[in-house]
Amino acid sequence: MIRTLLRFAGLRHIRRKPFRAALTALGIALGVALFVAISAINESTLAFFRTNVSSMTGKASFTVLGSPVGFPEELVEVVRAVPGVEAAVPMVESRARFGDGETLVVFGVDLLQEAAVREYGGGPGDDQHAEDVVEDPLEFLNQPDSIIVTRSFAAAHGLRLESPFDLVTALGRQRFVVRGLLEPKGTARAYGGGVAIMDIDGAREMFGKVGKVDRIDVVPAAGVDRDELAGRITQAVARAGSGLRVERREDQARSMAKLVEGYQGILAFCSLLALLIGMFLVANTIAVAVADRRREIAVLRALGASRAGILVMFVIDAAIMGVVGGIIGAVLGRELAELLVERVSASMSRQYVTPIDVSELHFSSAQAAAGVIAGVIAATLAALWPAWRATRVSGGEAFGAGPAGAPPLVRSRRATIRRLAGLGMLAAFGLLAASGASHPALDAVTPLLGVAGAVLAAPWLVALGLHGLGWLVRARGPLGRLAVLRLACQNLLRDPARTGGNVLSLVIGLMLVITMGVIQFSFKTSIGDWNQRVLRSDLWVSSIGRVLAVDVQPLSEELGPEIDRVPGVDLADGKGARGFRIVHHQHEGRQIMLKAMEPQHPKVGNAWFDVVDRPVDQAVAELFAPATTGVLVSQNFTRHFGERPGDTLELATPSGPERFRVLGTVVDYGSPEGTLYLSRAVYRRLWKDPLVSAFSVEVAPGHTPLEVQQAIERELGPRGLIATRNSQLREQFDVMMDESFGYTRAIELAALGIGLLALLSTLLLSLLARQRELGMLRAIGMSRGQLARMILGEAALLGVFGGLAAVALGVYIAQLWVVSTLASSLGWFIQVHVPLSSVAITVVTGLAVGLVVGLLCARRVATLEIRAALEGS
Amino acid sequence: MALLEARGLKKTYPQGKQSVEVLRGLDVTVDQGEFVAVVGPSGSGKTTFMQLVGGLDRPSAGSVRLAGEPLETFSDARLSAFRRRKLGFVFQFFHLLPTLSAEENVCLPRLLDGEAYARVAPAAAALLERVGLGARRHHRPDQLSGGEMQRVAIARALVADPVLILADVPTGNLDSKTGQLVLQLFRDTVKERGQTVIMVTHDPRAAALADRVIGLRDGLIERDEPTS
Ligand SMILES: Nc1ncnc2c1ncn2[C@@H]1O[C@H](COP(=O)(O)OP(=O)(O)O)[C@@H](O)[C@H]1O
Ligand SMILES: [Mg+2]
Repeated sequence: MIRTLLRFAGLRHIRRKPFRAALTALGIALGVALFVAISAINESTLAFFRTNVSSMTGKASFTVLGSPVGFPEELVEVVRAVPGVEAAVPMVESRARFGDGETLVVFGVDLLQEAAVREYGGGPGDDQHAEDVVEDPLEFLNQPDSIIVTRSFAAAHGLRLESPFDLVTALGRQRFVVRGLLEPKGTARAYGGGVAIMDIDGAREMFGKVGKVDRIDVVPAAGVDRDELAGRITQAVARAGSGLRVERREDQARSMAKLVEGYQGILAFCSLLALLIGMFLVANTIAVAVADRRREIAVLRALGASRAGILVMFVIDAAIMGVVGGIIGAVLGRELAELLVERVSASMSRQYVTPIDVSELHFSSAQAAAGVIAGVIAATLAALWPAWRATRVSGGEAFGAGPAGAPPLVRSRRATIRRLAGLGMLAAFGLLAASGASHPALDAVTPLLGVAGAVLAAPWLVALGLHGLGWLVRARGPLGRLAVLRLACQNLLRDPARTGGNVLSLVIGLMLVITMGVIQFSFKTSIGDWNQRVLRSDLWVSSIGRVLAVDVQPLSEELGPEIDRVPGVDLADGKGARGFRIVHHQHEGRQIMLKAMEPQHPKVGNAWFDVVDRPVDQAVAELFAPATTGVLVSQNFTRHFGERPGDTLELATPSGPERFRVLGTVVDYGSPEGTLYLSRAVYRRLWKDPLVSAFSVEVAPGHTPLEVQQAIERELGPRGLIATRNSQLREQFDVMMDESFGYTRAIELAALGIGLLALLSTLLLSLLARQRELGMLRAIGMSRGQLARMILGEAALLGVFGGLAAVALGVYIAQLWVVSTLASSLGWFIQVHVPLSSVAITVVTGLAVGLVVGLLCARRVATLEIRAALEGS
Repeated sequence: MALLEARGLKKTYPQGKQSVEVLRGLDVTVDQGEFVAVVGPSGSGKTTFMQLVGGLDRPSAGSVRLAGEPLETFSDARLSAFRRRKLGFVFQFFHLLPTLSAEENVCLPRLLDGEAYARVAPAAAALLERVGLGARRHHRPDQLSGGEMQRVAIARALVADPVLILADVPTGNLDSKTGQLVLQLFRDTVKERGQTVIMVTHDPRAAALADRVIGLRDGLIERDEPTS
């Protein structure tokens, strides 16, 4: 029987209303597209990490890693001496600026040992080792300016064998000569091909790493138990005492991937939200189809169709739209992923200060299939509720009153229950978020509560707004003349719950806009204010002009006195430029940040040290007192690791474990895991690292920052130094923040697109349901213009009130989210700032969507034939 | 002078590749103050005739001159305004707006014409009083019976003080007792206010209440005679 029902009732319906079905399928398609695109991007990011790790580790099973500033080269012999080690190959890894801020990762390797671990690709079929790339290895080694670059890099910059080119290294600008070209295979694929290879000794010289190693790749001898070997190496390096760790090849990819887990989580959450919006669209379409076909259902029931039959009939409708939407979505998603992948990986690189260059998109048929399946499941689930409602239609209605009866005004108890449940969920969300309780289960439940509560409460909020307006334009009210507006308003109030439901998709889309806006603005403002408070120097001198980034090419501290000689640089106690070093540090399995500082120029005082729990001068005096080894800890460090002022903290330094006294707590947004401030003298000694990340410089009285900036670039520009004014730094920060959140625009647009489709489809359907009424209005003298204005008014009101509801809900959710979930997971104290521009954008976008939908609908009713409408055909 | 002069009225509807001629040349003249019943079998063109007279549709050929105005030359906007000010419609299915109260429904044509509610409301209240619904002014359509709804619809048709009221089977959905009440209202309107009513009906007794009966068959006037 079900088959009969489908033949005669279900499929024909789609064919009869192709426009409606297409609209709904398109909504699903957008949701699936986002879902597929984001999963493809996330997958590609992981694949990038895997490729990176495997091309870096080659045949090695383990890698010995230490602090990012390297460890003593004697350890290579220690590792090599461990029984069961076949080869232990050292490498130094540096970043150099090339051209206008492009970064090249330079590996310094022992060319003669490399073959034991890494391949560099070659002609088809044969493995090419590093020493094969150069024609004369001895000559290569004899000339310290020798470098090997990838063919793609060479082609992009017009380089050939024997071409000279400049890189900015720790010693300033240096000249190198291309003495070998790599196919972009094997190790040359790491970092997207932006790599170069040098002899290890030359690299140490050029990059200020004499006597150091950044990693040792270990190849085990045949037949050796790997777990045991890993244990022996760990013990051996621990005895040497340098805070080193042994990572297996598979762990490395995992730990890189872990870094971006949070980021990927947000993306995945957004894509699910988009799918959810698509589901509302389906639910809406089916609900209206059910309302539309009530009589038909009644007749079918009277003729003996079963409840299950009716249910299946509607669910199949939805499933078909899900399949079509899913397939279109998978195709669209691939395009979207191509479009987005670069921006997302750029944004990730910025947030995690790791070169992440996901240029290769991994898009498998499994992902496409998952997208289609997600579409079908979403559509089917969404249809269940309205389809179940259809099964409640009794056969008796077939004999019921004709079209004479005016549809009753609904004031349903269910709507009240839904509203109360929604408000309850929002309240629970608020309490949970405000309590700051943190538990993995809670972290998952809290946002869900927020979203579910918003979904349930949104229709009511919209209705509330409409009621308010309805009261304003009440016949006796001041706006009594605006009969058309009033009619529009009252049409919307006819069934407030349903009206609210009609804009739900749009509200959720708009909520995404305002939530992202609030989060983004709050971060930007909080961190920007802090920057402004803390970064007070007139000028910053660095190798890359990006002072805020961590992984920049550091500079030799010897450059300080040279800067001091530039006219206009203010000296205090005989010293002008103050170097500071910002590096990552592995602490208890997490990557924290170290800021090694010098005593500051009197002009800026201790502004940099934003100590919150002690007198600043006292804490800073202790930090620089020669007798103490102390640190200032950031608030989030205390949050994550527990140590607070007065405690003692043990850090694994390249000179072995060292105890630090915690001298005070500072505000710092440098790292989501935590930041430590220490004296550069202490850092220099324990980390054996004399390099600086940048210098801060003050301008002498009678000079302007611009003058001195130009003077520094004139004198030291040829050495590769860049001076940045404080105001430029702020701009850099703004750009960086905007880029970090850049990808969210695409997500917002997709969500809004679905919202628009949903509103369009529901409004068109409601017009269809009301066409007799519209015919009557025309008959008693409503002009085409008035009718169009009424429809436009309805849509615009829906858009505006949808926008207002989204603002109310979005601000509420974003605020608690920023304050609790996000801030507590990062440990940052972010103050909530609601940007008026986002509020305006949200409401205006709502209005714009409403107007677009209204115009499309108005065009349809303009051609309404009065007679046909009156007769409801 | 005649209120309505329809000359050579023809209406053709396309039907697939062919077309059907629903009205095949009607000449009708109605004077002010007449109560005219239009009768005829289903499909004979009664509704079509009412639509053309009411300016809801345009004739394929012929002309309608109403209150001296040539309707076929009017733009849609002008026709709409004309309907608001000069015509009243009563339908078989009442067609009230469910969101408005009885009184607001009655006001609607004049509100659409830009009048202030405060000015229209007293007139609407008086009309509702006249149709016997003074106590139900603030009720919504879903709180009214069929007969009451139709009386509200009649009050709406009268609110702009129209020259012509067009009623298409106004009693079709009412039991005979309430039907009588509605017919009486038309009768009174014509008698006491000198207004003009054209009413389609299937009911010979209803037709007998009119001054004159026009019988249609297959798109042509079969008879046109005063009631005895
Ligand atoms: N829009 C239309 N298209 C095609 N035929 C129509 C249309 N409207 C009415 N008709 C046909 O015109 C004929 C007369 O209809 P109508 O004026 O409604 O008759 P009555 O009101 O006397 O029953 C009928 O046969 C009907 O099918
Ligand atoms: Mg008819």
